[in-house]
Amino acid sequence: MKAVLVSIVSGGLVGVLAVTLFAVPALSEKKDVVRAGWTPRQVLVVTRDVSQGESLSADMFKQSDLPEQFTSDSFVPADDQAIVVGTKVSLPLMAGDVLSWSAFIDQARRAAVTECIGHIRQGVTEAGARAEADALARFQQQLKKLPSPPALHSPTSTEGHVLIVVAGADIREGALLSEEQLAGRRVPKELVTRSHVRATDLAALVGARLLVPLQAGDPLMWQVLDDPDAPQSSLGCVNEIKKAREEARARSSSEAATAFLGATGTP
Amino acid sequence: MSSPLKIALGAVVGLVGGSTVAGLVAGFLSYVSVRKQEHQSRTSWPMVDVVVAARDLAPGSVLGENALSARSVPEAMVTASIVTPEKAAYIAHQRLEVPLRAGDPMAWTFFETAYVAPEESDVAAACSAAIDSAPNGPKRERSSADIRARIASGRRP
Repeated sequence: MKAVLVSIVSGGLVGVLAVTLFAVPALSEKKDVVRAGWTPRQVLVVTRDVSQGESLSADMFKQSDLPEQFTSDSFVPADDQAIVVGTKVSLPLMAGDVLSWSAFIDQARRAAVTECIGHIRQGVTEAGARAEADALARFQQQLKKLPSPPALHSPTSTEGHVLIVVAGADIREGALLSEEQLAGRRVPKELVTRSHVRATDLAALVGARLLVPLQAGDPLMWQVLDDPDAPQSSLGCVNEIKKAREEARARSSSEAATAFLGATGTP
Repeated sequence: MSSPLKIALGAVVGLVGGSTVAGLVAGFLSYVSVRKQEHQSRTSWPMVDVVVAARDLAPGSVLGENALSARSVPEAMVTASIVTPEKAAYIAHQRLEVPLRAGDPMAWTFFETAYVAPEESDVAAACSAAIDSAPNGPKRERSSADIRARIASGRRP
């Protein structure tokens, strides 16, 4: 009996020893992993506000520790302090900012963009304004040619409910409506006004332009629809003018910028 | 008198039992120890949530929804220059002017809007495109290493 007990105890001790031999290095390794991201790494922190274009001097920053997991190679390490002293910063800095290499980004490109904008700004603005005026004139011209809007429909029902048209799915602003995007919904007639589009008028909606975005289930109303070929609502007018201005500005910007760079050679 | 079979069986029982108990104890102690280590590391750095780059981002890229993320960083890194999560909407869809690594905090000065009026963003985009396509136009610095190399070589910004 005693020999059996001795064998059990011996076996137990061997088991404990084996687990300990495995666990100690594993635990140590795990702790190293946890600690790894938190090992301090020295970075440079600005001690006062620095204006764009100001040269950095040694008294404008100090060394400070941060956990290494937060200090990518985007940040200037303390070891590179000598490199940045005397260098002008391209971006304004605030006291307490950790110094990153981005603060010294090459300004040549930004200067070229700024110069280009300054050169073409007026022409682009004028092109946009002309497009706006033209779009407005076209809109006014169309208004004169248009017949009077059709009389709004009034809902009638003898059953207490009216079948109206709703958006069957989300529909973006400016979309031309198709039957697949629309659905019918029966609602109490007390909730229906003359603005709501009844299901019996569904055919009139197909091909109309939606002036506002709708979410699935939103009821269609005559006020948010317009004729795509001859817009006559004020919102349609605004959208047309905005579109014309943006297109004109984009065209003018592209042409003017290319011409400017062509004329100046290397910016 | 114990038989050799009983002795061997006892050794196996002891081995299994001892390993199990030691394993459970070691697992518990390891868990407590690692959590303690983690807690000590974290509590020595008060943390604040900021907006960071969700992945490496090149200058000139327009920030889509997947480009931004929130991350807790040491409070010592955060000044008014850094974008906080409640203001993230202001930088969404803006054009980035500097290279960033995944996890780098976003600063307000990193964007084109820092020097271009919002209503002129279309003009700036046209100028940028024209400059990029010009063979001798100034190119964007693609990484921090590029910036460091230029400064180290004596060419100042």
